[in-house]
Amino acid sequence: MFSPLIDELMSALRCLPGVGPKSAQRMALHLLERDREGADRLAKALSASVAGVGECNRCRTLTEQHQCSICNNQRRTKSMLCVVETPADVLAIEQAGTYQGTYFVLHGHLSPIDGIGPSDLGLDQLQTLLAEGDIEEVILATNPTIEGEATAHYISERAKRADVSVSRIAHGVPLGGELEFIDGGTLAHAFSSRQKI
Amino acid sequence: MVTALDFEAGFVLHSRAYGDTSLIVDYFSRTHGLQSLYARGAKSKKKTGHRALLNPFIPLTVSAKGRGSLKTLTSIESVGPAYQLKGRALFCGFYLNELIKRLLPEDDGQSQLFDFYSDILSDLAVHAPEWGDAPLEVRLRSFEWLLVQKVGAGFSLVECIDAEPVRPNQYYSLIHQQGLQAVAPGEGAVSGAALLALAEGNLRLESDRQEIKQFMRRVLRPLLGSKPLASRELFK
Repeated sequence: MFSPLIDELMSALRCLPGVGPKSAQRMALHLLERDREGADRLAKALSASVAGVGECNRCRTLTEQHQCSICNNQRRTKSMLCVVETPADVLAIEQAGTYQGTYFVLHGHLSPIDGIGPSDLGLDQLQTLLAEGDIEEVILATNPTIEGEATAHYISERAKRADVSVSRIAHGVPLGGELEFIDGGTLAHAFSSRQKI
Repeated sequence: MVTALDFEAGFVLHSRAYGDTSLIVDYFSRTHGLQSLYARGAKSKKKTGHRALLNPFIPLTVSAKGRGSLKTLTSIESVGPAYQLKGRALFCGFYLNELIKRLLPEDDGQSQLFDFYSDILSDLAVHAPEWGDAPLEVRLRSFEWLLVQKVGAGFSLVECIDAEPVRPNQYYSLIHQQGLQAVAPGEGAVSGAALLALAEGNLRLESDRQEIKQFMRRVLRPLLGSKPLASRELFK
């Protein structure tokens, strides 16, 4: 319907999550009709970040620097390492603002049926990091799914072998939640890991 | 639309994301075998209950409709507490799921295999690490053997191809799609004693378990094709 360049722009926009043909059309027309400047900025930012952003060589989170700002920060406790599945998890924990240690990003979880094994998650790199001896505690913050639990167990075995203490984040009733509406599995977990007060 | 599954007992083996909020679930049902189910919007915030149930090792009943091989999930209920598999027992559970997913054809109801699977899950859930791997291995080997029989690749463990009975002190090798043949001891040969122990479901000796483990790998290899089982990596 449109000229080839516009068609290409629309189909390119559809690579974004949640963008179908109609929204792609709206975005493309908006950029071309009303916001050429914004479009130019978007194009430059996209090509620069695709070319420049890689992984931090210590924690594997996304960054264009050699080491990310968290790993480089002198005030962070380097002896604590929090293992998470995705860079989005790092952001979530950072926004909560209570954790002062460093991270390690797996970019996924162990999932044999999908063919994702230990080597796909940078676990050799984690092993080297643990073997260096600076880390005293590993906090496993993988998701409380079956695959996340398997990943946590796999890492905990290796951390114990390297003589590093391991802990798992707590799972249970969300703050402000109502017991009535919580599924049985979560409640069972909340009861089995209850705390003395 | 026809109702394809009606409160069908089973377990989720695996689920993968489909689009932003939906899941495609591999479901192992008691009377209809493996089924692919489309769980529309299962990851959305409205259906967090669904997401929690669509995990492996939870006894469920599901209903689904549709004619094709991918059916649409319409209702899901848990019929018992989830089996809490931990550590190596969890890896064993993954291994079982991967085996079923890879070997069992779709729509092939195997109630005996299903019952055995749920028995094993309840054993795995109470497994304590200090018991060691022996009880896990015994269960895995007997499951593998039952699965091999159910997918039509079974053969006699007590009789060779030439109709001679299997003897404890003789060694045997496996001829693919035929059965056992007496050979001299050596690489790839398995002792009659270990085979008879497997036939009786009695793998008490460590040496038998080791032999049968290697033997079952040779039995499974042609069935699995060129792609190795990824869950074996976890045990290393």
